[in-house]
Amino acid sequence: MMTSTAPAAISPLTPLPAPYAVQTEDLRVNFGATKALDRVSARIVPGAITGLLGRNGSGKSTLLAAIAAYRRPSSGRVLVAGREPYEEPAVVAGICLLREAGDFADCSVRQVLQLAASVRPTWSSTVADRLLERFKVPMRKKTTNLSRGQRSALAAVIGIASRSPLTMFDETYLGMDAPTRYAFYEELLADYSEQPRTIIISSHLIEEVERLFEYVLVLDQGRLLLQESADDLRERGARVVGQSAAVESFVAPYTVVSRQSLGRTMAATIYGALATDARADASAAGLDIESVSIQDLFVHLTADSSHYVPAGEPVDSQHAKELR
Amino acid sequence: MTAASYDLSAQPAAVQPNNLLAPARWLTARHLDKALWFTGIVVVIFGVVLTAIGADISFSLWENFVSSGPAWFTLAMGATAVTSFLPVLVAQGQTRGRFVAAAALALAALAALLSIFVLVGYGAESLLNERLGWSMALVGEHTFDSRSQIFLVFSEYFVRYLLFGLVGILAGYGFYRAGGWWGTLLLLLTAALPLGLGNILLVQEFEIIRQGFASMTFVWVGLTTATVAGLGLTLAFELVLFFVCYALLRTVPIRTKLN
Repeated sequence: MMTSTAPAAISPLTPLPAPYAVQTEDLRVNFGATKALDRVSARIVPGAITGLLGRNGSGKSTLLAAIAAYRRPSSGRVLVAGREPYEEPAVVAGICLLREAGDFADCSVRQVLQLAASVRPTWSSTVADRLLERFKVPMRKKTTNLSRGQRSALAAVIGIASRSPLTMFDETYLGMDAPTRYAFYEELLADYSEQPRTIIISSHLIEEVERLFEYVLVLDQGRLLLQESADDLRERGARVVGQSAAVESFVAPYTVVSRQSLGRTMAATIYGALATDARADASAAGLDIESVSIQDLFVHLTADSSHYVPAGEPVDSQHAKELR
Repeated sequence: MTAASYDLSAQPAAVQPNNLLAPARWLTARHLDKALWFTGIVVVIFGVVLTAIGADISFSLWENFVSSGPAWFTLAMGATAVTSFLPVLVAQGQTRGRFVAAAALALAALAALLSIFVLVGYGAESLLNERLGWSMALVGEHTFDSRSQIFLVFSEYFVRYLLFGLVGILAGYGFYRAGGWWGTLLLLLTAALPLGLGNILLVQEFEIIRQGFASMTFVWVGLTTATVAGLGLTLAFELVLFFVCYALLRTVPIRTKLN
């Protein structure tokens, strides 16, 4: 048990700070000649869970690092809770970014947790103790001797128990096995319901985590591809299931993302919102319309981002329209 | 619920960061783990060497071979603070500026403890001189003339070790920012230069000060003006060094470490 982390724990009666909103304006981060982020103007809704999606090298980690004030933008700006976070003690004290490799140095688990408890104003020792037991994180081991899964679990404990107004998980849980990952999602949701805060989850395991998302933000090659609510995004596509011939006929005017056949039955995923009369036509043709997964749409959008952005129109102005 | 329905520029009540002493205490504890090992090893080696040759030498072993060890140890701890613990503290919601302040406080605590360790060693050496009739005399340049000048012995070593600790932070910055190869080359600037300057200020006692004010004494502690100037100038130099570290480290990006 982690009794030594108790001193800085906040009382259950102490009101926790309001969730932080995040906004970036024309944010650019360059690594030499490489543009890791290019004119990203993103808005993260406070008190909601946002999924940050993108292919490898799309700039997800760089965006999170800029938001957490790990690095200064090359140009543009980041606003967290209405203020620029870089070297701003009152803002960064409320930000918690957990990166995949973890930032634990050569310390024992106990020492890392002691630090978190002593410097995190919103730390909950009760939550930390419970999660440590559930995830079976060995307290005495050095973090460098932990398995990848144990390090991920430690990061998950810190992320949830910190109860920071802005908590970001950057592929933190990749090392966990499936049961532990599902336990993490469950704990995260439970604690988020109890203490709402702004959470950003960056992940490649989209199918697993998409049910958590209220908003989705997609980066592609350093640029913001889309940002909208998860429900709106799901409505951008549909899965049409039925007799192959009927399905082929129905989807002919649409962009088909994928086709799966089994005997004479076919399931086709299309990109594009279905109007009410189209749904009626499908029903009349004996076809089932199912909602499409964010993962399918993500694969389609990032395979060729021109599907999303109208020709000749800058990505950011399109987003501005959608946000209006 | 849409992003547009929120005032994204609203500034909710800030999270008040905890007292600076919290990260400083944590860093001090990390240094102490290693300091215990270091002092233990020093005492054992010193004991063995002293037993073997103590009666045959005329100079202080403690002064010449031991007291410089804690200085380099403090420098190593300063460098380690940056290369190992800067990302850890930033990941726990601390600014780089607060890290530098916490690291400096932790190194000051370490310097104080190691100065007491050196003081105790000098005391033990004095005792051996008295009891066994040995004649291990002080031979180096110091702000003190005798081991019994406790305040001066402590002050000199505290100021010296703090200097090494701050230089360690600067050297650590070089390694963290530029990597092993360039960090080593940069040691000329980040370590050799400030250590040289600090040592001149501490014990060389500028002639101009010595000549101008040699007759003045601080009666209440029995210090000469030159001694006070030496300690004071070194402390002032350390303050400058602290602000240099502060200014440099505030700009350093926290890199992604892949294990």
